[in-house]
Amino acid sequence: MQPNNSARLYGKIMNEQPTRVQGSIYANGHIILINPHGFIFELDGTLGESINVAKLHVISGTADEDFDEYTLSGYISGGWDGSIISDETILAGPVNDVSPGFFSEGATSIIEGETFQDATLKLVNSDNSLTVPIDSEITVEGLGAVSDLAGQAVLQTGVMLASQTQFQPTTVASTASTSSSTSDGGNEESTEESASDSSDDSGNKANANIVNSTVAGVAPFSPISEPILSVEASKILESALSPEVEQKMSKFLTP
Amino acid sequence: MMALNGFVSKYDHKTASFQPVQIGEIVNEKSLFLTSEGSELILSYPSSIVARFGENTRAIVSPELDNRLEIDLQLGTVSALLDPDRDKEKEPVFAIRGSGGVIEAVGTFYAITEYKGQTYSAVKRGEVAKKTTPPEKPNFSAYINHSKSMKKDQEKIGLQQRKATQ
Repeated sequence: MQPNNSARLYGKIMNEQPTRVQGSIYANGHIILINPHGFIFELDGTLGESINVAKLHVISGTADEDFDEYTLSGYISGGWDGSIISDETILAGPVNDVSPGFFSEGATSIIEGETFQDATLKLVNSDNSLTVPIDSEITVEGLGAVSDLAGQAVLQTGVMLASQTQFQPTTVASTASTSSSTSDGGNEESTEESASDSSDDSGNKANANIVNSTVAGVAPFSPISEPILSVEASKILESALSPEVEQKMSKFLTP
Repeated sequence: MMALNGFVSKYDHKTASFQPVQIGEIVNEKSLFLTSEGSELILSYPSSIVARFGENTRAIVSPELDNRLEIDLQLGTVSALLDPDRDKEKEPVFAIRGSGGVIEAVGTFYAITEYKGQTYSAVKRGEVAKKTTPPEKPNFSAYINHSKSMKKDQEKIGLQQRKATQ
């Protein structure tokens, strides 16, 4: 039991092996686990059943007391028993060998030095590429028929710019150019990489070269300049722009 | 500054503490404002601009400098209402800065929110010009330290509230 939900319990593991997280974790505050050799989650059940904390921080690396200096290393793996990463979890470190569903919506992961918010990424490879499994296609306005996961991945231009996307029958493999994007005055530039082809079962080639948030080679796609708002952020903004708010503010609009 | 609901505090450099904000107070130096849950703060600028801080918002308000008014939004949501008929040549530029970049208004009603480390914006009316910033370097320490600073702020506010009730 911790004093309150802001309390932090630091657990630094300094042996030469990755830490196997088994069983359950219960705490009313923050739990921060640090191991430079990584973590393997082997939980008996899902997150809700096995981990119940205000916030779980998993740092695969080293960090000083204030987290001013830190180095990411090792791997975080697991999730074979279902989704274990939720919005109550922060991951820091390369992720490897995790099952689909390792991330759930709202999770934050910090991988290879990059931060992915509202993670919809299902698997991050050690070579800095992303593999995004998709179950079915949906239609996204402005994008056409793509997976919601792929749509999220390529639209996170503020965080990650996908430079190469390969469409496969059941998965989308997106090679991300982490931090290769720069922008100035709204004009974005990015490192251009050549597209590689992949074929689906019917032999149809589908490849996309995503440069400056523009997808070339796939007809349904259109230029993207805005990240998709997360549902929660949309609600907040909608509330902030409500007629009631405008009416209240307009009373103070002095000429 | 014209109106507030709930508990809104401002960091006082002289006493190094957070003090309750008073209706009618004037911002004449860079000031950090915090709105607590269920609170709001409405800032009225003389140049036909009104800004509203939603609940749980943390932002630095700057007085006019080089014909520019700027709010540095660190957490939470700010709505901005600008008179579209104001003199854009003479009146200062109004901008809200988030972690994801700077949004300048042309003559509009818009809002931006800092949510889970990302900056989101929505425009109800008019136009805004955005200057995005490139992805930042690993910011895990900022996340942790931000949580720490928020905790410290909350503790200070709680202490002040307890003192005020005694």
